[in-house]
Amino acid sequence: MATEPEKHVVMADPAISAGPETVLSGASEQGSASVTAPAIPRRNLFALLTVGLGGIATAMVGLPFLGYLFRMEKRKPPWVDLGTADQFSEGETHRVTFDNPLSTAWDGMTAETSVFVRNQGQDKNGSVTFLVLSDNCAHLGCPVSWFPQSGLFMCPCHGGVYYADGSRASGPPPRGLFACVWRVHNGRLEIQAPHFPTISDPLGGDRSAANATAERQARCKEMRHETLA
Amino acid sequence: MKHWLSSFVRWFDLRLQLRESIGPMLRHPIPREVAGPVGWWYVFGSASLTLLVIQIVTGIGLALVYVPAADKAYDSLLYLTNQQPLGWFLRALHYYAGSGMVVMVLVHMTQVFLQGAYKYPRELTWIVGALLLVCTLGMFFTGQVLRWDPDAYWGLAVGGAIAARAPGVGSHLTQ
Repeated sequence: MATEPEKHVVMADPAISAGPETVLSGASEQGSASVTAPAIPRRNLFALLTVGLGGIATAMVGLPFLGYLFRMEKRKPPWVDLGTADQFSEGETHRVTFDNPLSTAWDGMTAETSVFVRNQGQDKNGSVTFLVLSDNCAHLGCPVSWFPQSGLFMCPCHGGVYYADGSRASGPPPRGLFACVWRVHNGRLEIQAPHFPTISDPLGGDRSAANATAERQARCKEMRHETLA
Repeated sequence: MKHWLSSFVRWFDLRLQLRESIGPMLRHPIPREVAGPVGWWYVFGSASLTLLVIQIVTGIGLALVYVPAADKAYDSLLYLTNQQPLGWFLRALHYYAGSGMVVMVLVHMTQVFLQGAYKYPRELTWIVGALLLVCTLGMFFTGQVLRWDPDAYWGLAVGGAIAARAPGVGSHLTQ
C-alpha cells in the first residue's frame, strides 16, 4: 500500500526513462542525468529513520521493563544466629525456628524458617561439628518432621524418608536432605540464611560427616539382625 | 415511548454498527447435520466463556477487599469470608466457577477433539484453544495460591520445586 504512490511519482518523472524497478541501479550509472536522483531516495531514508528511531525508543522503554520482569537478585546470604552452640547436646536433633533475613518486609509469618540441628560430636581436631539440615524435602520441598522414636525424618506429602544424618532412606526423593553452611562464632552457632532449596539449587552445606554415616551403617546392621531374628 | 427507544438504539447502532458485526455471529445456526441429538455438544465452549465472565466479575469484586501481601493475605481472606457482607457468597462463586471452568474447558476440548472440530479450516482455533488451556491451568494454580493457607503455601512450594526440575532456567524460575 505504502509503495504505490512512490511508483506513480517515479513513472511520471521524465528524467528517468527506465522502469521503476531499475531506478536505484540506474541512478549511479547514468552520469549527469542521475545527479538530481539521490543514492537513497528520501522516502527510503525517512522509512529507515522511522524504523531506526522507533526501535531505539522501544528499546529504551522495553529493555528496563524486561530487566524488571527477569531481574536476578543475587544477595550473599547473611549469617543467622541459632543460639549458643553448647545448648545442642551430642547426638540429638532439634528443630530451630527463626525469621529468615532473606525475606521481604511484608512476608509476615511466612518468613519463619526452620532447620534441624544435630550435634555430631567432636572431630579429629577436637572441635564440635554440627549438621544443620533444611526441613524442605528433597523431593518437592514439603516440610519434613523428625521422629526421635524411629530416628527418621519423614515427609507428609509423598512419603519421603531420611536417616538421622539426612541421607535418603526411602520414597521419591532423588537425594538426601539439603544441608546449610554453618560456623561457630563466639560460642554461638550460625548458619548462612537458607533459600528454598531444590536439586538444581541446593544450599551448599556438607552432609558427609563420617561419624553419621557410621551410625547409619550400624543402625542398618542392627535392623538386619532384628529381621533375621 | 417505543418509538423513542428504537430511535435511541438506532442512534448508537448507526455509530457503533454492532447489529452488523455481532448480529450474524449471534444468529449463526448450528449446522443441520450436528443439530438435533448432538446439538447440546455445542454449549461447552459458551459455558466456559460464561464461567470466565463470572470469574472476571467476582474476581474484581474480591480484589477490592483481598490484600495480596504475604503477611495480610490470610487475614483479609478471613475478613472476606466471615465479616464482609456477602463476601462468603462471592468467594464461593469464584471458587466453584473457577473449578467449573477447568472442568468445562477440558470437556469442551475433549468434544472438539473427538468430533474432529480442530481440522481444516479450524487449526488456528485449536492452537489458540491450547494456549488458553495453559492460561486457564496457570490461573487455576495461581488462584489457589492466593488463599495463602498452609495448603496453598506448600502447594506453591511443590510447584516451585517442580519448576526447579526444568533444565537450565529451573532454579531461576523457582526463586
